[in-house]
Amino acid sequence: MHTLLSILSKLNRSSHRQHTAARLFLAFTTLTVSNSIASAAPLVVHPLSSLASAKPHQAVGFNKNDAGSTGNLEVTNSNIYAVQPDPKRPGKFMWKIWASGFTLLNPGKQITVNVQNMSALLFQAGQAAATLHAPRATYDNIQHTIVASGGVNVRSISEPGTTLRADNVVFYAATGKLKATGHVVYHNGKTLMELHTNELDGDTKLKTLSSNSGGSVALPKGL
Amino acid sequence: MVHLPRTHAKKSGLLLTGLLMTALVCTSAGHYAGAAVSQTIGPVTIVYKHFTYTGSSFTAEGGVTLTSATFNLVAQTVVVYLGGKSGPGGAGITKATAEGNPSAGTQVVGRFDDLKQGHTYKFYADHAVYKPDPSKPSGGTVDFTGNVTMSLSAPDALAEPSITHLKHAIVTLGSGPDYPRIDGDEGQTVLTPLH
Repeated sequence: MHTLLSILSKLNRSSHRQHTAARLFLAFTTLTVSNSIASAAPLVVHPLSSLASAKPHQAVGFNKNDAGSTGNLEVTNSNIYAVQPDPKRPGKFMWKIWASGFTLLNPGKQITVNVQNMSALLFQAGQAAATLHAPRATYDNIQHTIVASGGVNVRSISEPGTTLRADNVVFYAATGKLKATGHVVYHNGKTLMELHTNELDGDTKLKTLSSNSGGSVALPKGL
Repeated sequence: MVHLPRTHAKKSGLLLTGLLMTALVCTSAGHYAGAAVSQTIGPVTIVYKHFTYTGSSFTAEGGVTLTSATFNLVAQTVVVYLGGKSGPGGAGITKATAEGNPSAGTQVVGRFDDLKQGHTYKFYADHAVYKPDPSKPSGGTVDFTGNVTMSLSAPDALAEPSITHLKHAIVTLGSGPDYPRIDGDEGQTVLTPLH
């Protein structure tokens, strides 16, 4: 615990110039993480053990990376539950993620979180819009993006049965948009329309789409 | 060349009247009525370059090719409107429109095959509109307008495809021996019969 608190303390000191606070919960410890991005919304990270699971927190490893001289820091952990409050909508969220492992990088001006085996709840205009599952993902607090890769599955909440599958999906949390690339397959639960393309843009609800990379659409109940 | 001063659309097909005696080939109503092949409504595939979907309709643009069980269509832009109750087959198409590209001089091209007769009908037009027939699950019409040209390829009767210019043509789709049925209005036809 002493090491943990020491690292967290350095993490705190490393970005003391910041305007908005991000709160980090690790091993039942609360930490205020500074960052210098005035527009960045607080990032709240919880260990999975603080959720419904009664199991104690798993082994935690921390690797300092030039924390003393540059303020950079790298934190690794085995499980993570993180939420991103929506700065424009108090009490609402931009996303919630669950992942089996993560690396948190804080190079002074931004927080980058790399996660593995991620499940995410994505919000659009403050409303839960879709779930996302991916083997790997990266969150960037400056761009407010989640870059998911390794074979991504997105399922709309508001459009039952509507799904998106692609090699990679970028979630733009600030605008509630998605960009899917690589072997994109979109399936509409109502019309059973199935679209194949290499690049597809859409909203998080998967209700509006556009593609300029060519492709095909199949309608089972056709002409 | 045979000029047809007037052709009348009848339920039984395109009835050609005023036909000159030199064109004593295969211009009977039954011939243009085509059919005698059972085609059923089935899946449709659309290949596009640009695509937008808004929840109730989608637009496919840029050298669009639409392929269904009953016909093939090439256009610059195709807009498909979706609706109705979702079921095992999904919600259906309530309407579809196709446009050519006037600036590029391209038209909508629709191809309908009469497999049993071995005939192929091709329609060239500025616009085409598909509407399903709510009374027939497997029925619908494709309405061609704007500089319509119908080409009929009938190797058993014509030395080369006949060409008919029309203001307006309707192709009725459905299952059974009477489909596809083709109705047209005023126009002229060029025929080259087999000797």
